Order: sequence, then C-alpha cells, then structure tokens
Amino acid sequence: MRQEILTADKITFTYLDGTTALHELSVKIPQGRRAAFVGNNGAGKTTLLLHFNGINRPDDGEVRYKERKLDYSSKGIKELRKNIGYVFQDTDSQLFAGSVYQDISFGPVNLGLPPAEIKVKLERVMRETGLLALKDKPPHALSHGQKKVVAIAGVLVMEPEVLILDEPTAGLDQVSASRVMDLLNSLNNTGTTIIFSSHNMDEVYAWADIVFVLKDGTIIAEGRPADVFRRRSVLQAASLRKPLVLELYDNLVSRGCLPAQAEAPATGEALLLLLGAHDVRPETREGKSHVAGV
Amino acid sequence: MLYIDQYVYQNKLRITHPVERVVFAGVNLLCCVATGKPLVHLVVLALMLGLLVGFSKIPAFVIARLMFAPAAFLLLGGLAIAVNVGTSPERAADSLQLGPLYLGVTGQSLSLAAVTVSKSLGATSALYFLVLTTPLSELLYVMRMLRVPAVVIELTMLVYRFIFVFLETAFAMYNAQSARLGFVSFRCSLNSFGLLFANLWIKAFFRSQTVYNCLLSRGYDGTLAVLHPEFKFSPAVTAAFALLASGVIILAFAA
Repeated sequence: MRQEILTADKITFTYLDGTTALHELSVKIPQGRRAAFVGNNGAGKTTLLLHFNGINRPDDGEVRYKERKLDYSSKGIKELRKNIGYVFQDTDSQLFAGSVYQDISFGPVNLGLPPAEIKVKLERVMRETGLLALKDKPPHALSHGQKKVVAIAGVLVMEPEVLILDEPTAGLDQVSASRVMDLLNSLNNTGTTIIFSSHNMDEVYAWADIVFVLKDGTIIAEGRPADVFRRRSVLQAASLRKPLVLELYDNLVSRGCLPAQAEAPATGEALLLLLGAHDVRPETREGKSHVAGV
Repeated sequence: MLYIDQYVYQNKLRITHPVERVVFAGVNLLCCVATGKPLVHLVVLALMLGLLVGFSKIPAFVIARLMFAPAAFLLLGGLAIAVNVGTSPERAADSLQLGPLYLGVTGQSLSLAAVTVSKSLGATSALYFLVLTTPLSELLYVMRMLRVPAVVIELTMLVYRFIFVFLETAFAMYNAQSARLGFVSFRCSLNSFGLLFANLWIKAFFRSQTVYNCLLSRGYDGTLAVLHPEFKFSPAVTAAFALLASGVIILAFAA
C-alpha cells in the first residue's frame, strides 16, 4: 500500500451562516496518484479541497500532510502552501497581475527566492506550459482556456508535491480541456500527486486512479473508478451518471458481444479497439491503457 | 467598447525603454502646459501624433477616434471662451445682436481661446503618447523606479486588473437583463439598473473573498510582490528622444 500524502481525519466544517458543509469526513490521498472528487453542487467538494492547503480549518477532526498534523502558524502555512498548489475554479479571481509573466512570478517572489532563480523557473514553466508567446499579455486578453493554463503555471512554478484543481476543465472547450489534462498527465508522470474535482464522469473514469464520491458533506464511496461507477446504489444516492464507456462495455459483455476483460477499457478508443476497430487514433492518455491488460 | 489595451500591447514603440517614453512624454507635456506659444503646442501635437502614427504602428483611425473626443470638447470649450455676452457692442471686435443682448468676440478672447485649445490639444496628445505606448506593467516599473509607495503600485495593479473583470461582469448582467426586457421603458431601466448595481456590489464582495483565498494559496503575506520585467536602454533611441525633447524645450523657453 502506498503512503498517504494527505489525510483528513473525521473533519467537520461549518460555515459562518450555520451550514454544515462537511460532517466527520475522513479521506486518505495516496502519494503520486490521481484522486478525483465527484458529487453534486453543494456536496462539499470545494470546502474539502480548501482544507488541504489550510484555507479552511476544520472545526473538529484534523488534516494531516505526510502523517503530520497541519501546522496553522504563518510559517507552517507558508511551507504547506508551497508544497500543496491550489488551482481555483474561477480563473478571473486567481489572476490579478497586469501580465502573464508577473502573475506567474507572484508565488516564487512570495517564497523569497532570489530574482535570478525565479527567472530561470519562470522561463522553464512557461516553456513547459506553452505560455512563452503570451508572456506580456494581460489576463483579460486571454481566452478562458489560456487563463486556466496561466493559473496552473502560476502554481506549478512553486514546484508543489501535490496539485489540487477545483473543476479544472469546467467551461473549457475540448481542445483546451485536453491540453489541461495532458499537462496534468505529464506532471503526474514526474511524481506530482494530482487531486481534482469534476462533474465530467467520463473524464474522471478515464483519468483518475481513485475516486471519492461526496454527498452532503460525507464520503459515501471510494475506490477504483471502474468499481465505484458500477455500484448502482452509489450512483443513485449521489445522482451521478455511469460513464458512457463503462456502461457500453458492461452492456456488451452482458449481452455476450464481448468477452469479459480483466480490466474494463478506460476510454472510447480502448473500447473501439476491443471491438476490433483498427483505425482508431492511438491512445493519448498514457498510463491508463487497460486494454493491454496492464 | 474600444479596447485600447490591445493596441498598447502591440505597439512598436514598446521596444524602447519605458523610462525614455515616460520622460519624453513628460517633457512634452510640461512644455505644453508651461508655455503660451501656440507654435510649441502645435509642434508637440504634430510630433506626438507623428510618432504614434509613424512608429507605434497603431492604426491612424484609432488615434483619430481617440483624439476626437477631447478635440470636440475643447472646441466647444474654446467657443465659450471666445464668445462673450454683453449688453452693448462697444468693446467687441465683432458682435451679433440677440434682442437686448450682444454676443461678441474681442481680439483678446479670441487669442485666449486659441491658446487654451492648442495647449490642451498638445498636452492631450502627449498624454496619449504615453498611454498608447506604455502598458500598465511598464508604468508600474517606472513608478517603482520613482520610489512610489508599494501600496499605491499594488492598488494600481489590482484596479487595472479588476476593472476588466468588473466590466465583464457588469456587461454580462446588463445583457442578461436586456434579454428579459429589462430596459424596454424608462421605469424598467431605472429598476433594472438599481438591481444591477446592487448585485454588482454583492458579487464584488464575494469575489474579493475568493481573490483573497487565491492569494493566500499562493503565499500572500501582505505584499503583492511580483517580478518586474527588465528593460535595456539603447543609446540611439535615447539620443533620438533627447534630441526631439530638447528641440521642444528650446522652442518653448528660448526667448
């Protein structure tokens, strides 16, 4: 069993207006994995995610980072937020500076790094995220997809161990969304733990290693996406839809059109390959090719 | 809405050092304001518009449209200065009788009007030169060099950024209201505008909290420090700006 990088232990959180957003919620995030949180609006996803970088502080219970209880002193918080990057859902709130370059520099300047080192880091992160051409643009001149990449770059530049993203692909077009997911892929491949929330079950199913289902401030199910999304009672309770690929695959297997595999296909392409198609595009989301029986 | 901003970022004079541009525009502005010689005002006006059209590569029609608003305002203002109202036509160089009143102009009022209009046009063009060639991030850089307090610079940065977010939100709400006939009559408009205004406040309040959380997540500890870009002086450009500026100074202040 992998080590947990973040743990929430029976945390309860109530907003000032009296709404209890989380109720004795416990969750363990394994290191180096891709963890997804799903659930309806108001289920508590954002409230929970904000606990992981110390913005929200539980009324009861505790949050641990690498087995150590979070240190909410200003020094401890600074160290925590360097290691745990957070990309907010609303990019317009996250980007505040007059140019892409300046916005990305905000985190490393706060860490007190010397300017020469910051410049090297900025250069590298902008190259990796393909932002060099947009360097001097103000945020309002960018598209929503570009803003999202800038927001991610501004967090990446601090080289966090964990990257938390609140609905990273919400409102993005297909191309921008897959750019963001490709970026997350390459980050995860270099060891960064990714935690994200999403309303797109197909995306969660294809991409996550472990999925947590939230309802009314508690976790009602967790596990591998293929297992969780096959539990009808869970889907019903959280009013979620079964991912299309999984639904089709299970249906085809139950009708005897397909022999059952050890692992269900993760993507549409993988399913098509199983069905004998030869002209599908190659798998782009590396690491999840269950077809080969990985 | 005319987004001047995009032209500012693309303008070709950005290769010059921001300090060169700020000093050059500042000198021209001061010369314009400090002297009453219409020749100087017109030279500054021609110089600024010439540099903008010729070197910044901002389309001439954009500059013309921008100049039009203050020009129209100034011409009307100039007219008010030039024309006096009196009860007798005695001291006027020329006059027009309107019942018991006379509208008259004198040599003095005419020249005062001309100087005021030319001075303002020249000064406006100098300001436009600065605004159209220098994005805010570069202005902030110069402000920092001038030791402007950090809080002023931070506020300027935030206002600049969020003015666009604010406008976008306001227009989105306005469109949503219009789509449901919010502005079909005067009464409706007043009501809708009130709702829009109230909602903008609430939205701004909630957004400010999100912004604060975002900043905290990125290690905010009381100062909005960012890395400022670096610029290099080029001797040729500095010399050219200095030459033009000293020409204007000599014209303005030599007897």
